[in-house]
Amino acid sequence: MTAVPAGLLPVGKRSRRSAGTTVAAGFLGLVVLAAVFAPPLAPYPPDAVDLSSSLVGTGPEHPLGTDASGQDLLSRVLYGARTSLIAPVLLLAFASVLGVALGTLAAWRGGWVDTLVSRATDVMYAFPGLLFVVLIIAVFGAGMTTSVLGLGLAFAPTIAKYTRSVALSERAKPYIDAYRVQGMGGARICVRHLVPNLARSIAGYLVVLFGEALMSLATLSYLGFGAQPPSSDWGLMVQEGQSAIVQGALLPALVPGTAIAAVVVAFNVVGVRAADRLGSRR
Amino acid sequence: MLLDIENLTVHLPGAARPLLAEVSLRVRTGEVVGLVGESGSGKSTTAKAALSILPDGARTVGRVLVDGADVLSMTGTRLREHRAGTVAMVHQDPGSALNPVRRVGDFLVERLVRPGEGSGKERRRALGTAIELLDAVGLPDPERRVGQRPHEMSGGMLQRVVIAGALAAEPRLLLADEATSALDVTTQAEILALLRTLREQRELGMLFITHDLHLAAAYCDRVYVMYAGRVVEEQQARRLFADARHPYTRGLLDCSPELGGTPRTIRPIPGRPPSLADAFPGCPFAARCAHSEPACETWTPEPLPLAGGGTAACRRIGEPRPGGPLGEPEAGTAEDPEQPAVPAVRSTP
Amino acid sequence: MNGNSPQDGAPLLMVEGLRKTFRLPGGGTLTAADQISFTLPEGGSVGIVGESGSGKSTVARMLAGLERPDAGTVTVNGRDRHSARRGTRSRRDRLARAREIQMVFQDPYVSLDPRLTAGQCLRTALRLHGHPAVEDRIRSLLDRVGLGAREAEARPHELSGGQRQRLAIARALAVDPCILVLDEAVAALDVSIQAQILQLLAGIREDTGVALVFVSHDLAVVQHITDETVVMRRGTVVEQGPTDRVLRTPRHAYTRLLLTSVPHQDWDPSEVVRARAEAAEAEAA
Repeated sequence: MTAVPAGLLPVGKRSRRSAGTTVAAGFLGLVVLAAVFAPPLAPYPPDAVDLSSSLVGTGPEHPLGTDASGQDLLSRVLYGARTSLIAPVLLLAFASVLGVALGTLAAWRGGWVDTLVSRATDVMYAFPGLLFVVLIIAVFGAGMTTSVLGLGLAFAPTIAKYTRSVALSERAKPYIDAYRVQGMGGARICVRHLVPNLARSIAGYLVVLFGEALMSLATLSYLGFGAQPPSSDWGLMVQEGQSAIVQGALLPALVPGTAIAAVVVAFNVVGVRAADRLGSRR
Repeated sequence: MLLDIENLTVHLPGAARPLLAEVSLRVRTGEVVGLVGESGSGKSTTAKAALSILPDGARTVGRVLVDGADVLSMTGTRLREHRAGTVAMVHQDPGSALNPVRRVGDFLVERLVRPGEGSGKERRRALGTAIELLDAVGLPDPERRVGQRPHEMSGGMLQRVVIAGALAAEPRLLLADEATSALDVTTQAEILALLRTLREQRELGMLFITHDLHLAAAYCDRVYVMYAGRVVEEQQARRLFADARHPYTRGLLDCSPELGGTPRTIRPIPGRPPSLADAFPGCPFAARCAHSEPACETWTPEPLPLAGGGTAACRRIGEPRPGGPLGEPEAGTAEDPEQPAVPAVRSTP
Repeated sequence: MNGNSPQDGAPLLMVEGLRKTFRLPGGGTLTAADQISFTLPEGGSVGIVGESGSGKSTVARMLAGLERPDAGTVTVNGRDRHSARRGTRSRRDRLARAREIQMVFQDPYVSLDPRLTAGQCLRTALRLHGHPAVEDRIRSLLDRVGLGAREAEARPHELSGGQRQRLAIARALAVDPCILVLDEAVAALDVSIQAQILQLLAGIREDTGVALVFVSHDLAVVQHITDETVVMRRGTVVEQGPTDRVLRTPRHAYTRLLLTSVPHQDWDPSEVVRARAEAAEAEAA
């Protein structure tokens, strides 16, 4: 009732929306390129300490200034893009393997299996994700691996919930019945035919989740649970830059902070459109 | 003349053939006119032209007159009044015409009183009219029904509500677009009986759009048959069963199984209904026609008058009948470019 | 067709006392089918006729094994199709059951896997059943339903409605079933295409000897393609017998009502309204 078909939107509105998406997608492309080509692009090694040029502002030597240890912020942010982008990918990959499996199982089997999975995911859902991860870290120790796996567990219920809902409607389609009538087993139908047909909409949903995943990982690193020094993870950089604010230098915290904000916003802009496109095709 | 479509041609940018090609169609007051065709024939486009609802970017040639007023040149308030008043349309799916969370009474009152206007007194009077309308469309217990929501009613009841809504503005022309196709056969018959009564009581003209030629021939006064955006035949309905003249019309009658005593062979029309991507230099049906000759491929169709009234757009219509092509067709002459030729099946006795 | 030899004199398909009740969201129950019994001889054709809500599709789904009956049995070649407990069936068992009954669904737009081309669709079915010469069989199946090499490479959205239904029929035939259940299989098609599909089915029945269960609301179509007819209404059978007898000299008021509802020359819909009122009275009595 509320969705307005794109064809009915005034022309100006439509093109403005897609212009925003194009800008966001272009920006993300640049960020990925920057991460890939960090070594040739970065003017200094990310961990090159130069105490003589501590907390230098922008200038020809250091375009974005330096931090307290005299490390070049541009170089660190470029290298940091690597962990900051790869870690959420790994997190979501782990979470979707779990979530898609559980969601599909719940939708396919129905009955008590569905009730069990749905209740379990609801409980997880209600529990603050970060708190859960902090508990895990308390048990297994801090670090990027624990953070990624822990947050993966925290993200899995969301994905399971989403998968369950799309799997339920896909499962009701007669082509799935046709496979059953052919004598195909349930596991094979799910793995070979049901899930592949859900892939598009799940992928769209993951794009939306990406920003949140990046943000959560950055938060963990900022709190000191995630990436450990001398990593150039953006969250960690914000934390390290924090003390420089007292000394009047904003750049060490502002540069990685802006990077996080810009990438998250861009992913949300692209994600909403991607979810629309991937989900509603066919 | 209530509805008079004169040589209406509608082009869409990018389409290989016009959506409608030189369509002429008339509906008199008190007349039920059938408009029959398969998907993509242009039957719905023709009906919507009476409301001046045409696809975006369409180029039109020709005129559409409703009660003498040129519909396609109307704009703004004039067009809105036309759409809200003179002509009403009833679609196939009553569920999509009704707001699922609102009461049936509200749906009707909305049509009787302009939204946002009207005092409480007027709205109460409108509710009274709504109950009268529901009664007129044969819905039992209308006082209770106005308080119900769509999900509490069956498909047949909902279609009655939609028809009541269509009657609210006291239209002169009713466009029924597959209005009974989604209903069960017994319910369909009840709605059709209702529409017939309403036509008599309210002197409505009705354009009855359907894919079912048997239904149109049984129910309407006059029938137009469309194919690939053209009217291929127009005849008195009762003559269609016995004396359909265009090969396509005959094909439609021959290919649908019919209830009855004598087992009848069904002869499918080969090929498929054309899409907008198929262009035709001559008669659009020539490729599927059992009687086509090379000359048909280049003959621009035009409606040719039939001896007993009506028209058919077939160039072989004037040829002598006994033994001629439009007498009894020879069995199994159909050659299908797509399908292997299969002999006609005999109906199970 | 497949290896099972029918017991002497026993019909190919025997349906006895089938019942299915659904729980409704509100807490009530709906008996979609009750006391349904009929038989189908080898190579025969039976029609199940009814309006929406008659339970005809539920019967079709129980035959195909998509719904488990609450009571009653479906026996093919003397073997009960629902004997094993849910989930305890072996792969061999599943495949053997599939070769008993295959199904063609109403809407060819959603009954085909959107990801698979026509060729892949058939390949999946043939491989599942361990068919020896898969590629040859794909070609002959497509050819049988009137599809060519171009269609073999096409995905469902690139095919017309009629072509999709042809493919759905080929997919059902790929398993080489004894019985084909068609649930409103021509209802969504254009009139001229509907006739082509009916002709195709008649031809296939003649060639392969496959028996048909034809579920439809359309009496004319049922008369055309079946030998026996079961008329259903609100979950129960009101009349059954040879198609010709049922449609010529109907015994039940409801069958008569259905027949008068079909438009024909000099048809008056208000007669149907009267007949419906009479049928309702007869029922009340």
